[in-house]
Amino acid sequence: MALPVITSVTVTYPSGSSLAPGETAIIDVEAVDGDNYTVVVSLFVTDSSGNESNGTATVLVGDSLTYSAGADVGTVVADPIVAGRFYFTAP
Amino acid sequence: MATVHVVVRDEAGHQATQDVTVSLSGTPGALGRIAGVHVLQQVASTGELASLRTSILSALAVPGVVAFGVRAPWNTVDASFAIFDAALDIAGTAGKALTVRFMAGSHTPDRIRNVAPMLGTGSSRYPRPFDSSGVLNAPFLSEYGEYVELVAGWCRANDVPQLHLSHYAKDWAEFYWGPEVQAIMGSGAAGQTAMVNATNALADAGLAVAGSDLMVELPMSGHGPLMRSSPTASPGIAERVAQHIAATGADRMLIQGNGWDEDGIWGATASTEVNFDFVLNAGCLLGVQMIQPYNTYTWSEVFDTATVKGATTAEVYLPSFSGGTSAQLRAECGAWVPNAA
Repeated sequence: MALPVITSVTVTYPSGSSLAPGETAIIDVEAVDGDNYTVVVSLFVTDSSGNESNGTATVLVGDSLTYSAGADVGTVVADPIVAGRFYFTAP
Repeated sequence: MATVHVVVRDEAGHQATQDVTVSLSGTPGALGRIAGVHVLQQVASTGELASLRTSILSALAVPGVVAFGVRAPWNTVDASFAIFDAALDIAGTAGKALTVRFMAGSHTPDRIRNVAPMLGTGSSRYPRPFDSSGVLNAPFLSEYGEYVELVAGWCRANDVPQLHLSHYAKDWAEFYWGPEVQAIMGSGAAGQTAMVNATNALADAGLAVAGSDLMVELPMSGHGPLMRSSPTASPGIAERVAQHIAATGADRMLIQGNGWDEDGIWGATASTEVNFDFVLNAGCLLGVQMIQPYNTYTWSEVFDTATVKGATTAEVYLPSFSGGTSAQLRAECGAWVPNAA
């Protein structure tokens, strides 16, 4: 079993490039399951005259991931809806 | 700079971690610096503190821990602040804030016990809050005020954001409304009013030195009864003191419940806890302190209690960070969101 892979962590400041006391930054974490794999699904569509068209769809298969975060100072709160999104408030 | 520690887990429990740095600007106010979990340890000497240095640093490294709280008997930090200096060095090494607390009661220096009215006898003497006419203990209050001013000056000189105040007390720093104090004027309205007035004077001494750069704190728990007798009864002693603090300096002073555990913050039975909670309606900022230094608590429930009560600071004794359920404690420290400061 492979570990999850964190592909990016982005900090978005409310303005500028730092946080003043009491301000909140958004931290977005993107990650993928290390054991994920893709399945190519072939799709066929046939009309009533027998004409056929086909295509493919790629589906990513992997474990669901859970995200958590803590900070040495200030507070971190997870977004209740968006997985991997956190709100960091400066002390 | 702040460091945010990110953890991603898959369904099998495998995890990836990454630290991200957040740039901070400006100087946080004292309240912003103390919001979170504090590691609390009482010592009576610099040698005792030195022997605990490694374990204190380990606890301070836990995400969510923002401060080291050192508690010392007043007579050990009267002629010298060496204990506070040594604690400051430990907190500084960890990059965390320091908070300081002195205990009056029978730990009051003899230079004060020899001149101010006391209760008890011999080495167990402790300050008498008021006399049989309800007159406050002016000699003690004068010394108390001078000492609080002295410690506040040291705090400001060393960037220490919180000074915990002591009650007149007996064995500890908490309220002491025990039988000897109740006997002075009785436990009825007159005695209670005298106790409120005497305690308000301690709060005022703290408020006189407090500011946005230095928060002060006074416990509302201790030897009682300090709460109202029923939800419909008139406010108890602690509630009246909290109302005074809220009206005088709610922005620079916290009240505290020192009986924090899974079930409450006042160290009382469930029915008493309900009546005690009227203290929280006064509108003061709240700190909580664990009732015991055990490592057997169910910490998720303990921190749920702090959240429900609206605490901004949470003091946990050092021994709780080792063995037992300490792994759960360490996780909860990072997950706990203090009441917005």
